[in-house]
Amino acid sequence: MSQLSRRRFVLRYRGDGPKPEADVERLRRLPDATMIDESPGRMVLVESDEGPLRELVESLPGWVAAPEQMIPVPDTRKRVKRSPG
Amino acid sequence: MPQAPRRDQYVMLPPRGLRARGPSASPELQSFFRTAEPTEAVRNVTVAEGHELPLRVVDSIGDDGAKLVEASPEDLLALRAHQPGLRIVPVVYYTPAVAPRAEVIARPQVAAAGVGPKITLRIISRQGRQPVAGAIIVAFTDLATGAGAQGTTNTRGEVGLDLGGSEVALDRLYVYPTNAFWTLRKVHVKVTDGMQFSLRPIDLGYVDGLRHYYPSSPDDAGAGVTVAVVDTGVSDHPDLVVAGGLNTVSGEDPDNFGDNGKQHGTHVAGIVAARGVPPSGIRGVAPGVTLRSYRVFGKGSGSASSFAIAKAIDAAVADGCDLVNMSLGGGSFDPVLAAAVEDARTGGSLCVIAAGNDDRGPVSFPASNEMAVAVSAMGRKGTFPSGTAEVDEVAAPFGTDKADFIGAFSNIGPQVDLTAPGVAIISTVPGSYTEISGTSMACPAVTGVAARLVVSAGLPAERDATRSEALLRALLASATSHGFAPVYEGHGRPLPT
Repeated sequence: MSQLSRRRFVLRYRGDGPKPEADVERLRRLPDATMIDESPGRMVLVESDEGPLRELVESLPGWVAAPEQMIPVPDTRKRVKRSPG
Repeated sequence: MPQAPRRDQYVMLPPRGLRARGPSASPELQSFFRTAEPTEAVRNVTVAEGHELPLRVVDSIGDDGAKLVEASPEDLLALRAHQPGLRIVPVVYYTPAVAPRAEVIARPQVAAAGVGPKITLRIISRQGRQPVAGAIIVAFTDLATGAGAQGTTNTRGEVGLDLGGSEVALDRLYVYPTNAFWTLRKVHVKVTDGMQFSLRPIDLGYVDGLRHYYPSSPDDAGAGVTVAVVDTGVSDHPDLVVAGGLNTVSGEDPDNFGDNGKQHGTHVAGIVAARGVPPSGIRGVAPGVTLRSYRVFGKGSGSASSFAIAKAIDAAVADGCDLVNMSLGGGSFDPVLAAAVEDARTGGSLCVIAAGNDDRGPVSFPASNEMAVAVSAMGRKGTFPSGTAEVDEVAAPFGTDKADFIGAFSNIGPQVDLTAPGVAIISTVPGSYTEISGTSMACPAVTGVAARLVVSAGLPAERDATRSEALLRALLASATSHGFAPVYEGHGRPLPT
């Protein structure tokens, strides 16, 4: 396993009710994956290689997954792009 | 002979999945899906009780499944107003994935930063001539190419800029103070070491864009309505009452939902809910709401995780928030964040989301999500002093009243639902007040109006898709056009009743 290929993924359960504990347990047991946060009722944050995680999520009904994204604070101020030429 | 309106193809979907059934689709939406059948030509289709629109249903997945329709942009807008639970997606045509050709994207830089002497500029207050600390100075030697230098003033109000000489002709100079003063814009100015620039203080009685369009907000406007501000946190301020909230940033104290140091969330909160009285304070659009802060940006951090945002939306819905203000966006489509926005709608909460500030770029995600209320930013000449940075935001198109315009920074597109004032808006920041521009400022103006409509629209008590759709329907119906095309203003600017 390469550390470079590990990313953080957000998984959300879209079925009825809270996320199934059996599904979360399978995610916990995914080899070389680290559960970062499983406190939300319908989501978990997992650090893992993408391939094995995608494979597992596809076998779990009702789940969607996406790499964790970072969104910047909005700002309309002008910015310098380069030093004076 | 009059020309037939342009008709494009769209896919109409229920809030979740491909079929309009289950609790996520309101009874009205289920009825619409069942009755809209494929036809060979355009015909009047009943889109809601008593309302028909000329549409052609080209194809359908079963009786209650997704529909392929042909409609004009105007009819599409009307359709969304009558059936707010609809997801309407333009048909996408895929092309062969040919290898891209190489192209030049930038010329090599020839500049030698750090070689020339630094020019120190000093920023002071116009009255009292006191130093202004923490102001961001942006000096362009060539605005078109973005060449120049920038920095932040120290406690003496000074900033050193490496502009490649000791006397430099600037294309533009901008000063962005963090509180108490208007921004400053200078064109074609020659700067030398030790030059001073003075800033005009903000008068809290000034009629800015927000107060021009929404001049009166009674103390009880929005009373009984709970509004979530998903942002950088909301600080204690004499004009604000924060009822509670949550910090959803991993590894931080969940109870620390105050401002993270970036000011943005406190400014947004003031536009919705500030309870001050000018000229000693400022007033938001709905001072009577119960305000909750959901901090998704880490302490001092300039970015928020999609996980923290989705977690905050879920928490806001669970806390009974009628409206979720999200003055944020960017990045690519994220199915998890989209699901959180959609689940909020099903849970009776409406997410009002800023369209983004990419200078007429497409509506950013998550505002582009069909279940979001996407807000662009308009401005009005005469609602900010000449000589401020906002002068650059005055751009075509202009409205029926030529003083109205869509802010140059505002994103646009078919997903825009509404517009609201977002140019040079005065609001609260930790310990003070400041003016900021952005769709981030337009978004809470819409949230404030929506909060007032929750009270007047007589919504069903049960928090479900029917309730949030009824609120959206009332919000869109309240809007008045300022004469911009739908891609700029959607249905127009909403009005409180």
